[in-house]
Amino acid sequence: MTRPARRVVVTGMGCVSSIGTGVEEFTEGIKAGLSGVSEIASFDAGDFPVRLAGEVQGFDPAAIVRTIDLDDWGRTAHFAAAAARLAMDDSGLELDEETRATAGAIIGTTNGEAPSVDTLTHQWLDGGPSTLSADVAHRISAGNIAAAAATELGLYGETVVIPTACSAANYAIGSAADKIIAGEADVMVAGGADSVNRFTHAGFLSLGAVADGVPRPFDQDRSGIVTAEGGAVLVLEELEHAKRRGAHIYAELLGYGLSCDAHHIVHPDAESIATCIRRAHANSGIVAEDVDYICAHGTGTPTNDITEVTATRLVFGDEHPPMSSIKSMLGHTMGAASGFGAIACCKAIEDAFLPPTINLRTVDPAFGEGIDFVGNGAKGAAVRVAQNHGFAFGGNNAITIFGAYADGEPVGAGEGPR
Amino acid sequence: MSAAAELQISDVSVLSAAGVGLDALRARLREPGAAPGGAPAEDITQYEGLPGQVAAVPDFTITDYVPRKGTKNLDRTTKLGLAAATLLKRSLDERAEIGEASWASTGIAMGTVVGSLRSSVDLDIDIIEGKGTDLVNPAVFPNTTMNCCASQIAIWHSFRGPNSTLANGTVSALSALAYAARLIRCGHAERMLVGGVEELSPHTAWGIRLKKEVQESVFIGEGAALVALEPAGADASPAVATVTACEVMFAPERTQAGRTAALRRAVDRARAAAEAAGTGIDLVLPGNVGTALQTAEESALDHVDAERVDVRAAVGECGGALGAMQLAAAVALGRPGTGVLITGVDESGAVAAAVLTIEEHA
Repeated sequence: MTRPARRVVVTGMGCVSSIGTGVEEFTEGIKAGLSGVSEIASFDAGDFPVRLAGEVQGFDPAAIVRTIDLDDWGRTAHFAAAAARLAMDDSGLELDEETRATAGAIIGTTNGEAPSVDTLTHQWLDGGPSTLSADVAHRISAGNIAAAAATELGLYGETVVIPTACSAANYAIGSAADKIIAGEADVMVAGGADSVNRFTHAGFLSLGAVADGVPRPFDQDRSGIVTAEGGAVLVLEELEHAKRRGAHIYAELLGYGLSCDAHHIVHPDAESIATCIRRAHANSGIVAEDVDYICAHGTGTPTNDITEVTATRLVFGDEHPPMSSIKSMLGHTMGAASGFGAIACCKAIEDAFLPPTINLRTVDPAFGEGIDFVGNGAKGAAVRVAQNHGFAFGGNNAITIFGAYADGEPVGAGEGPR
Repeated sequence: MSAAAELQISDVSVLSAAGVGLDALRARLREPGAAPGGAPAEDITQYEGLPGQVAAVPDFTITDYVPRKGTKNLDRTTKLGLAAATLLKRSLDERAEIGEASWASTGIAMGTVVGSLRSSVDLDIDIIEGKGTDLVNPAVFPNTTMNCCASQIAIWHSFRGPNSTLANGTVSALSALAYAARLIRCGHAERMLVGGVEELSPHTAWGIRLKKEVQESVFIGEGAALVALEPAGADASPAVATVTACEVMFAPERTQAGRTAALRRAVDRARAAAEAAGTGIDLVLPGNVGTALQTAEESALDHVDAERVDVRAAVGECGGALGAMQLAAAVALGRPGTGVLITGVDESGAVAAAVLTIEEHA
């Protein structure tokens, strides 16, 4: 395909995570291989055999946001608004009226305001339907998660939530980039947010998909996910707009791809994921050999990891780039996961390192030889192109591709068929 | 909008409190006074004491649309969306020769407020009362994720194109239209089934009544509607309408004036696109009549001189399906060769304005 005339760069990043708030602290946490997994505190987990989650301890949105009234919004919206504020501050962008008029927020989520739904459920059980709190009912509309971010930043452009489960942030980032490429906006904020909650924890437990301890992606003894939470948001900006203001450019968003398994609601499909990778490459104007690092979906369930490696083998064969799972540190932050992956990719490119897979003792021999899962801690490596995976229930696959920004032709330009 | 970027609506399907199909919707739009059909019998006690009326899709049974096998654990949101997709595929197959490969590349953009709220609450009750996962049926857990309906449609019909779900309150389906249009224009999709879905449940109904955003005189409905969105062109199916504009914007000021200003910007952009396309606005389908946001919407439309029809009066309050009902109503009521302006404001601050130009031979 023809490369679009308008290019999209990442000029701001913000996040609230279990291993750090803000892109610097988060990156230090990734480089140090910190674990954000702890005993569940946000709800009574006493009835469950497994009580670990990647909660953001002591999250204090009031210390971050400047505009929104926190009482108007639920916890997931707080994550989105806080991450969006941090990202916008990080970008150094002073939004003028012209930019503000078309800038919007597109945020992905899996469970939306699930903790608020849990509150309503208790009210329903305790007092019957007529005792539901109208204030809580107001908060549960999933669209509020993006609305809180746009309200926080004073944006007038297209604002929407894409609740495509655990690949949602990549959907959001991709669509926000398309808005910029299509000339509908010069600046967009995009990412994902989710909150730890009772029924996601129980639901994954009922599927047998929750780890009996810490998450161990790619380990032969991996036993599942650890549910987690947080918010991760990027500021995407049209390249010339960014250059005119002398913005710091983390990386270029080269493109993205989507695919749908149309196969099974919870079991992933390797062929469809391989299709998604190829579409992402084609959309980005790169070939497989250009990819230096894969930020895996890497949930740590027995099924996901083997399916994901089967898919990447279909595309990369024996020349497989290093691939790690930041879920080993964060747990599975659901709709925010590929947003965190996007930040990790951009920092991997900028700081020339590979994020580690922690808790990895023995790589599953089923994956075959020759893949570096970065199991011995972060390490230095030049990363020009990073591929960020996001897969979801329902077979909603989305992959974003980030490239080192060069003042000239984009990475991969002229090297592959487009 | 350049001719190359022009997108058409090739077909429409709709299930609402008015019944199934465009004819039933058209009849109810023209005579909205008809009494709604009430709640499904199995839930009737949970509506006791609820102010106002409710109305389900009459006599809805998923096995009227798809074979029984595999339907047991589907939630009502998914069933309604699946029925709408099945009707749309069947109808478009009858009107145009769509090959299997073309259907296999078809995607979905489904609007929803919060997915199947009932599925989430019921699962949560099972967890609380079962003290853990003892009462949890793992087969119904995926119903609590908001993308369940769109993904199940893809599974049932082998639609492998981009599978997406959009949440933006009552403007969700118009957000889905904007999203799907961008996917097609940017080369990610070929044909998209676009719309919205909402299930009637005691949970949703009580939530709506307690919030008091919607007047009690408006009944609470449900339904699903989808349109087939494709590039206009030689190979395309016959069109029933062209998407002349679809603007989704936002009001960060949480005031009536802020919302009016935001919707007016969206309306003005949509009207400018219509004017550039030579389309005159002949009909307006506002989304907020009978709600707390009615005045904000009316103020934004005060310079638009055309007939108004209140779609919600015909189909009831139906959340994520409302915008899709408006799209279906535009096709049902629009006069050939003219434009229909569809608007909506959500309490979150999201606003939308779209113009469909109705085909001469629709």
